[in-house]
This record gives sequence, structure tokens and C-alpha cells, in this order.
Amino acid sequence: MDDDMVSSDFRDEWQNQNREAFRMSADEIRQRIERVNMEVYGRHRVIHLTGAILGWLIIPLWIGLLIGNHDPLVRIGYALLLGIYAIGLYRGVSYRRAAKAAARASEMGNLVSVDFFKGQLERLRDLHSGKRYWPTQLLFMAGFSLVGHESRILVIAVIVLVSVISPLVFRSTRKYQQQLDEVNRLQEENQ
Amino acid sequence: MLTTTSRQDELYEETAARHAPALERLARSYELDPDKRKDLLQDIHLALWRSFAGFEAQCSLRTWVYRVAHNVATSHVTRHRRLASRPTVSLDEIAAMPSGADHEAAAGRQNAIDQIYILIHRLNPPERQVILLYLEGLDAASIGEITGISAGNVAIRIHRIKKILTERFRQGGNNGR
Repeated sequence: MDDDMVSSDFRDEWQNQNREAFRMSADEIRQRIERVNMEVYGRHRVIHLTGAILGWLIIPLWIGLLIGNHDPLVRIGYALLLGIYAIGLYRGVSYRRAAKAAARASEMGNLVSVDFFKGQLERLRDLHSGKRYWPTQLLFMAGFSLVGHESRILVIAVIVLVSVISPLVFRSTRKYQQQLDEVNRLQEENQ
Repeated sequence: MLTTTSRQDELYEETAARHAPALERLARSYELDPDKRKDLLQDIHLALWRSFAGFEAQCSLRTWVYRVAHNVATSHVTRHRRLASRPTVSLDEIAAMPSGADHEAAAGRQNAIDQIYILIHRLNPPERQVILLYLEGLDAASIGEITGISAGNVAIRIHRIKKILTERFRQGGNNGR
């Protein structure tokens, strides 16, 4: 048997696997969409509420400590932490917006799958990107070190935490980048 | 004139009638866990119904359906962070692997179709899409329209797929019948 015959047999066998298949009625779809929307709404509410509580507790506390403290190093430390909080918030909101846009169903039909995949990889790579990650982490470490410059344990704890997390973040970034390189090669081959 | 939702219903009905079995196979090719697969399949059906609000027939319904389905499935894979934790490979790398690896991995599984699913799960998403669409009976031009890979490149990949199927699964394919 040659390659064509074997693969043709496989195609037939593949397509005959399941004659009966899952499908939904229009009513089921509407009910399910409503339920999904409710779940998403509920999840967003929990996230927003948690963010708001943290924001309302931590931000005024840090601002209070920034203003009320007389040690200039501690004040700079709190200023840095407030800046990092703002950057984190901005990045979180941007990532969620990009994810939402990418998941829009009508966009999915207009995008060829290689472009869609590339977009997903870029989004994930950028989320963990070293270019953004290191400045943020350095500012975070500097902030905590200055705030707790009288407590060595706090400073050491922050450094250990960042040292443990960083290699994991970079490993993910590298893997996403490798896959992006493959997709780019594939697109270059197309031209 | 049809309202948007009744048009969506109509297109969905047509899609379910024509492509439901293929969508089920597609979901199985992206997700091995039966519970997660059920969720993925449901997500695909919901995304399709929603997507029909924006379908303006600039491509065929089949192309649209496969694009949405593959993109939802890719999104499912990336959402579960599988791409960073479990590396995927290309068709060339699969071809270079000793065939015993597939048979070992398929130990306890009865037929060639199960082995094909194992092979597909190892592939990176673009090549996974090519092999799936090929197995669904689409030609190189149609696969190119869905994936964005040129028809020439698709044809090269199909040639590799045929070779891999012949070399690795001829025995399994005969047993599976």
C-alpha cells in the first residue's frame, strides 16, 4: 500500500468515529450564555471587590506612612511601592482588556488560526516579559528594602521571594518566545 | 428579514447538522480529560453561536466554523498554560522520533485512532490544525484559508503527515479495524 492509500483509509476511519455528536438547541444555548454571563459577572465582582478592599486598605496606609514618617529612606520606599501598585494595576487592566478582545467570538471567525495563536503567545510573553519584569521587581525590592531597612528579615524575605519566582517567570517567557519564533518562521515560509 | 438571533439560530442549526461530529473530534484532539473536554466542546458551540452575529459570508461557513473552533481550542490550551509546561513538537520532530515511543505511549489502547490522538496532542497548534483538517477531508487550499499557512506549505505538511501515518500506524490501522 502506498502513502496515499494508507492515509485515505485513516481519513475514512477518522471521520467514521462518531456519527452521533454533541449539539445544543437554541434555547439551551441562550440559557447557557445567560449562566456564563452571570458566572463571569460574579467572578468579576469578587475580583473587583478584593481589589477595592486591598486598595482601600493598603493605599491609604502606605500614603499615611509616606506622609507621617520622618525617615526619608522609608518615605522613598513607600513612594516606590505606591508606584509599583499603580503599574501592577495598569498592567492587570491592560492584560484583561487584551484577553477580552482576543476572546471576542466574531473576531475569532475573522482571524486565521496562526495569527490568533501568535496573538495569544505574544500576550502571554508580554505578561511575563523580562523587559517589564525586571524593572518592576527591582523597584519592588528597593521599595521594600527601604521601607524595612531597619528589619533585615523583611529585606531577606523579599529578596528570597523574588529569587524563587524570577526563574519560573523567565522559563515561561523563554518557552513562549521559542514558540513565537516557530510561528514567525512559519509565516516567513509563507512569503 | 431575519433578526440577528434567528439568523444565529439558523446558522448554528446548519453548523450542528453538518459539523457536530467534527467538532467533537476537534475537542478530543485538544483536551484528553473528559470533563474538561465537555466544557471545551460547550465553549466551542457557544462561541460559534455568538460568532454568527458577525458572520458576513466573506468566507464559507465551513471556514468560519473551523476558524472559530480552532481558535477557541487554542485559547483553551493557552488559558491552561499548557504551552509553557508541556512543550509541543513539529511534524519533523515527530517523524524523527522512534516509532516505539508512540506505541509505548499507546500501551493499553486498542486502535490506531487512539494513537493518532496521542500524536496530535504532541503537536504544536498550527501543525495540529493542519493534521486535523486534513483528517477531516479538507484540501490544502481550504486548510490554508483556515490556518493562514500557504497552500504550498500545507501541501508539504500533508506529505509529511501521510508519511508518518504510513510508517507508524499501518500496523495499528489494520489492527484497529
